[in-house]
Amino acid sequence: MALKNTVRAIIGLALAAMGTGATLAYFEESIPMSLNPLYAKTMADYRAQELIFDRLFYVDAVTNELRSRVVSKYELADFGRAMAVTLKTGIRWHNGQALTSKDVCFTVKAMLDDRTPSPVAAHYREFIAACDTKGPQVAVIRFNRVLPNPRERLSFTILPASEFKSTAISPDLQFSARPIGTGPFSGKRGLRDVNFDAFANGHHTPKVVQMQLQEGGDPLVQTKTLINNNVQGIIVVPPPQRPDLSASDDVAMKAYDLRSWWYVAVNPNKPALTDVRVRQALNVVLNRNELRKYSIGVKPGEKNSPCEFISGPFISASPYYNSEVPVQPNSNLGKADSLLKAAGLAKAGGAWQLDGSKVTLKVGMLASLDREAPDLLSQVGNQLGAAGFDRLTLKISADEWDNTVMAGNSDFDLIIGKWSFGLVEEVNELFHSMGRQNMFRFKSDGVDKVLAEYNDAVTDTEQRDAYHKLHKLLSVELPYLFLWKLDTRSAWRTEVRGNIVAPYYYFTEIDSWSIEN
Amino acid sequence: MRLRERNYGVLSFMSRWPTIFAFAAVLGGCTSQPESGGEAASVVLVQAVPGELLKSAWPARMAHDDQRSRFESQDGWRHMFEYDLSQALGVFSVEADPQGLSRVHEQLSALYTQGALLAANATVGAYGVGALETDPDDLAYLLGVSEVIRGNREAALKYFEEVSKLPMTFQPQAKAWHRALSEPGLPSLEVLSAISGSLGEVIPGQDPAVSPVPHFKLLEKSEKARLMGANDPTALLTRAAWHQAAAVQVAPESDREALGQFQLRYGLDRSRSSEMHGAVALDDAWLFCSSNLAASDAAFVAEAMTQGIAAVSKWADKSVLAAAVSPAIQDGKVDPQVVMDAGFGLQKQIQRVMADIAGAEAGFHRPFAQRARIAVLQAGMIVADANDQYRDAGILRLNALERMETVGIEPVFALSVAAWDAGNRSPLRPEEILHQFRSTYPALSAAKAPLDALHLRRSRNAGPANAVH
Repeated sequence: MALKNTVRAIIGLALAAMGTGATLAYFEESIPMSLNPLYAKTMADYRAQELIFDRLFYVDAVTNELRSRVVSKYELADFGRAMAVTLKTGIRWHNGQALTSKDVCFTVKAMLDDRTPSPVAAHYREFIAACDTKGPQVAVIRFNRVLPNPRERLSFTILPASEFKSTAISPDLQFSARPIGTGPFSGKRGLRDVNFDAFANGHHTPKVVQMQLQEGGDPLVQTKTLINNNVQGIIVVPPPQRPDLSASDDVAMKAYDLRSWWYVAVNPNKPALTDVRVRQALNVVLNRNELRKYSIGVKPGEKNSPCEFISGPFISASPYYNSEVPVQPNSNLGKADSLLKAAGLAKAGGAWQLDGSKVTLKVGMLASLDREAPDLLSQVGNQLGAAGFDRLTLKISADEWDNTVMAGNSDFDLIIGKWSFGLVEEVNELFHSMGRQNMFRFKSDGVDKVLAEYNDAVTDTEQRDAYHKLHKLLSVELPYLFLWKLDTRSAWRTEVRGNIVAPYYYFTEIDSWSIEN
Repeated sequence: MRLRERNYGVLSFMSRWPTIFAFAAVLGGCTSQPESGGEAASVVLVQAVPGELLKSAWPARMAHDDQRSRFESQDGWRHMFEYDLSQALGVFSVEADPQGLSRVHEQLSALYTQGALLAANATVGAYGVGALETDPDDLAYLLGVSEVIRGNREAALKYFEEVSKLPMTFQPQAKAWHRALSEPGLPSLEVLSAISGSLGEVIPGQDPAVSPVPHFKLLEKSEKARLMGANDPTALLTRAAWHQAAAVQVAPESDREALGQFQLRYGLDRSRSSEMHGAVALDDAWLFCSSNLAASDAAFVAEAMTQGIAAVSKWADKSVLAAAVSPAIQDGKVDPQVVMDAGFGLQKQIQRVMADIAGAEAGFHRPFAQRARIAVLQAGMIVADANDQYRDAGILRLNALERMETVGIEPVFALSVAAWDAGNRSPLRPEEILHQFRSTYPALSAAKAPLDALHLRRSRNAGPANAVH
């Protein structure tokens, strides 16, 4: 079997080499935390996984048409409470085995298994009830209710049954670093890079032989490295670097449709931050115009800025954004003083104190974000300092972020972060008292009630109104200080051809990519 | 308006471009030689179009100081260069430039036409394809109007007949539309005004006041019976017709035929595109900064919209765009990658010609030439669309939009991309585009409600997704 796989891989590489042949190296925001699709936590995870796996159904990046590379036929069954999918024949896993209906049902069962602590799977449990095989090619996926258009929901990644001992899949398996998929590339994660090798298969014909994901360092170095053709692409180009790259005919800037917004999360469990007036004071301490100018390079009033202030947990173009809630572009230190005094803080020697002790704010930011918004952490720290807060600023490693911050166990007072979304902009998990991504266990009965309204909404008007209400409520309670949305742009060398960038998943159309020698 | 640093061109925007071009020119001496460091290694530069033909392209001609000077001396043209139609309208109305003013009105007409198409596609995507039991019955009227705009007259008539069985809300409007559909083409400004409300006398240089949105509030058929905001896309059509009338009114008599050709590019009525079009003599006021590089391009584009690759072969020796797209026609198909290469090739060729004419490279040469590159992508897109290559046309469409980020987003084209996306039931990019332009062109807000509904309905049915950092 091993020999067969080696031969298959060599054929894959040879076929790809006949097309154009070369290695495509690119800078990512960070090294993926996991290559197991059940445990995707960062956009770098999703993008890398898109190269290795197939999703049951996906959306064409150009026409938005719902398609599948692995399903040849589908039909509704059981009066709309099930869908039978017939798999294409001849599709092989990277370990050489054939893709069968058993794999599809294994994936479904793994997601339904309570012992699989996957946030991705948790959502599927809300509407998938079971999966049965009918022969090697047909899987019947059963729902707990009639779904209007089930194909649109079935975008999960298919996992190989042969690689797991049971349907209880934990995040720490070797599979997370050396996964087996049916996608156009096999992938292996190292400490500082991820290598992808083209894999010959009936349903994928990658023209690129090898890809190499490297963790991007200093943005200026990334830019120079790209211009000098030592890498061929940068996934996220910070705004200050964009003019240099746009000025080069060797590089093409690519739009990447991703809805990202930035925030400062506030820990309401810290004594100094429990009182909402303190959070409101911090909101007016921040001078977002200055932060944006020094970190993103956008001056106040600049037209068509890639960075636009927000007052709530949605980007301004979203239907959920409540435009009646004003943004706070400038600081208002007088108002901050009044709010802090009303909350019982006192200023002594220019520093704020609570119950006679100096208030020290421990501020953290995911280290990789410093590339997209350089110096944001220190700028925020400086503004807090100028307003009279003692502060400690720290960059947070990816591991600490994952194991401590997102696990709700960090002792930070403030955390600077960024959330990204695709078509679905749900924020319930961020703000509900029981939310899986509620990093400081923020609890508000009012917020929980509005989120319940959102969940119970029958019409889209009801749903939108609930989120407008949420936006307004959050702008008062301020579990987050909302900063801005920031457009994402990539840059690729012009030798890279046919490089259609898919919204959110990025590499969905990788088969059309090639490198011109 | 005239820049302090004359070397770097005409328009204030240019001052942002690095001085590298001029510096390179000094170093290189004769600028007819290819640049050493500025070309994409992947593209073997060939002469994209015959040299004589290329000289008719406006970017090449604008390398001559005397031909460019008339545009340097008017703020209206600076705004046109920056694709700020709103500002340009105000300036041209006082600068007494009938051609400039007519062109702005023509662009505004195209903008609102595409806005109407955006609203129509979103309406059908949300309330037609994505209909819910709780939807108000009155939406049948909005669906009817939307189908007219999309060119589906039979479907529209069915919706209008449905409205006739409902209580009064939209009956007068539906009847008026029903009557209008007995004639070919879109209704006149007079008829449209009777349906959506008059915008007042057509006075060139003005932009009629915008009615607040939502136009209506309709009751949802749910337990909570919420009021749903809804807008009539007819209002956008009326505004488009008003600006079209203003464009015709102010255009010199000799330019009316050309104006008719321009209107086809973003028009909804494709029946005239199937006619044969002749190249008409055009003043540069109609071409400067436009996607028609030369006079014959307007005629080529008008024909290509229905005749596709047949128009390419017919116009390849007369139209710069047809000549550029020509190598991309292979085995009866448009190859989008070759179109992209041709666009880049034309950009570099134009830059060289401009440098030859001016005697040296200047900062404004590249952005002018980049517009030519985008024009080639758009022409390839039009040909691919007419050749039933929907996805290939989409690739070129999105590529053209991406390239615009460097030189400025043309609002009419951006709105057309938004409308196309909405037609594919894809709401995210259209939302961003609409958000970008609706503060400058508030009437476009009429498209927001259906687009929001499309997003919400698609989102509710989409696969699960978490917020990701």
